[in-house]
Amino acid sequence: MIITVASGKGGTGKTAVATSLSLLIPHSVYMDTDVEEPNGHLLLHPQISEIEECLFPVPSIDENICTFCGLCVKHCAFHALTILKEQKKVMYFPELCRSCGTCSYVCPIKGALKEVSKKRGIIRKGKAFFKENEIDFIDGIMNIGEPSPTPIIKQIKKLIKKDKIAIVDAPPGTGCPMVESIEMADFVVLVTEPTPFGINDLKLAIEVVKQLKKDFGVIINKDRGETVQEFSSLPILLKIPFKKQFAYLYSQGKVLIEDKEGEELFLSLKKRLGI
Amino acid sequence: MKEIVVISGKGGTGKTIITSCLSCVIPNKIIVDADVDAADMFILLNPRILQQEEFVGAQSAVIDEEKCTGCGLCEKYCRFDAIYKRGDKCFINPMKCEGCNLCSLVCPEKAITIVDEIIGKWFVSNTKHGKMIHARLNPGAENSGNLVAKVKKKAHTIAEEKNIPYILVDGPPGIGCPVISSLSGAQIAIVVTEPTISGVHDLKRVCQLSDNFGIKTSVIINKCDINKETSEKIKSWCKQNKIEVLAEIPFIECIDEALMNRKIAYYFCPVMKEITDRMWKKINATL
Repeated sequence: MIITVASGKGGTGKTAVATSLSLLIPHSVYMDTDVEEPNGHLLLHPQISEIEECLFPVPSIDENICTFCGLCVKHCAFHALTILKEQKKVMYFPELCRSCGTCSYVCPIKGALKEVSKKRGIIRKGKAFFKENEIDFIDGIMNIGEPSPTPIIKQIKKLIKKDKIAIVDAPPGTGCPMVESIEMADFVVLVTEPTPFGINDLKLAIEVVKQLKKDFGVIINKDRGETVQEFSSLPILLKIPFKKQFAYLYSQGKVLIEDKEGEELFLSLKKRLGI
Repeated sequence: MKEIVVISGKGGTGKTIITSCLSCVIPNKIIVDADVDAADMFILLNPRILQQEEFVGAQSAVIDEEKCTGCGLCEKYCRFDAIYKRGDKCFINPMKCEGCNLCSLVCPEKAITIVDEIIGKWFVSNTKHGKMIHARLNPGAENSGNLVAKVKKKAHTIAEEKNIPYILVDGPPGIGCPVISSLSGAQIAIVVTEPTISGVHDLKRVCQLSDNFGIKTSVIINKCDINKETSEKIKSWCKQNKIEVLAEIPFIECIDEALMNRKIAYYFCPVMKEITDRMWKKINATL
């Protein structure tokens, strides 16, 4: 089973929820797909045993063989190639390239345009521990300056094993990287906070989840015990009270279940999810 | 024209609240909400929409079912897993299609065409604090960076026409495409962080990004008193890296209260007013 923890708004507590929930499920897998800013490792302190490189094919042009016909430039939908005919040069902009392979398909000259691997990030695998529980840890780290996290998220997804419970810690927003992280889920947990920003962004996130036809539940973080009308019709899984103690634990890189009350909250969430 | 961009790396550190306060002190500017995934600035600024346009920001493949013989060649070549075969026909998953056009080139039946895709809407609005350019990405749409580039370009065009000296941008979280779009062409990047272990981690990554762009970067430590030790660490890291700390904002209840009431903290919270006034003086001195 795959449970993705997501939110429209950033900083609502996705990572705080995903880390504590995973640690309470023996032999589960925690997966951090927020590869732009992965934070799960800061709370789980995993022992990393393996690092996989995220390599993607990109064009490499041999200007001695290239005839500068311009077909690759014409067909590149992302404007990642330009030809300077007079200087006999092909300019390549790696930050625009999506590794689609069209350029190498259309190149008519054998050996002029080859695809080579470019490292866009890494994926780390390891173990994390809490009391007697041991869980698998996986995260991705995108190289700074890379535009798109999606290919790395796709590579992380390939590591999912069907027989284990996976808790996916998704990136914020409602765009492509968030969709990529939700698409694989059997159930989506949306974390929000009872502020006008939280409420607005939750609505946007719910739109995406519904479009993808996923079941979902909502966690209200930093709850102040006030009734929020917009939440009344939603399937609420858990309310995490606003406590300085929780904020302080998080600030130090500690999981919420290190606190007694925190542990009780997450045990009730686990039960609610039927795990 | 000077462009000031507020970013954070980590989400939820207070970008929008701080940008809204800055919008009260920067004279004669255009405000841009570049967090097109989850735009929240409108909640505080109550924009009155003057112009609204759909935005074509991507392309997507479409298969003509009549012509498709289900040979599966397109599926084999597609690197985005956007094509799947059901029965004896191939289909496109538009959420995964990146519009690269390779499938239409390999299709022996010429059954695939590429069409424009509307990925969202953008708006020009009036607010009490000047013109605001904002947008809304369609749920699940790709290429949010293109939409960010669009709203910024619109802001620049209006600023040039009307001789407006400043553009104030509320940026998205992360370090990817929409953040890169937000930073491009900016003079100053203000990174809002918080003294948590993840705040610090994300701050370092996003500062490296803005540094790669050669943009002058300064830092605001929000909720600086929730962990004083970590706040000190941020300050010494900034000092080492010659990054100015523009402000340290304590955790004050009235900032929260202002948000709950959909109000700008600058008018609601004397401490925030004072901090913002001081911040603008510092920013203005470096511009």
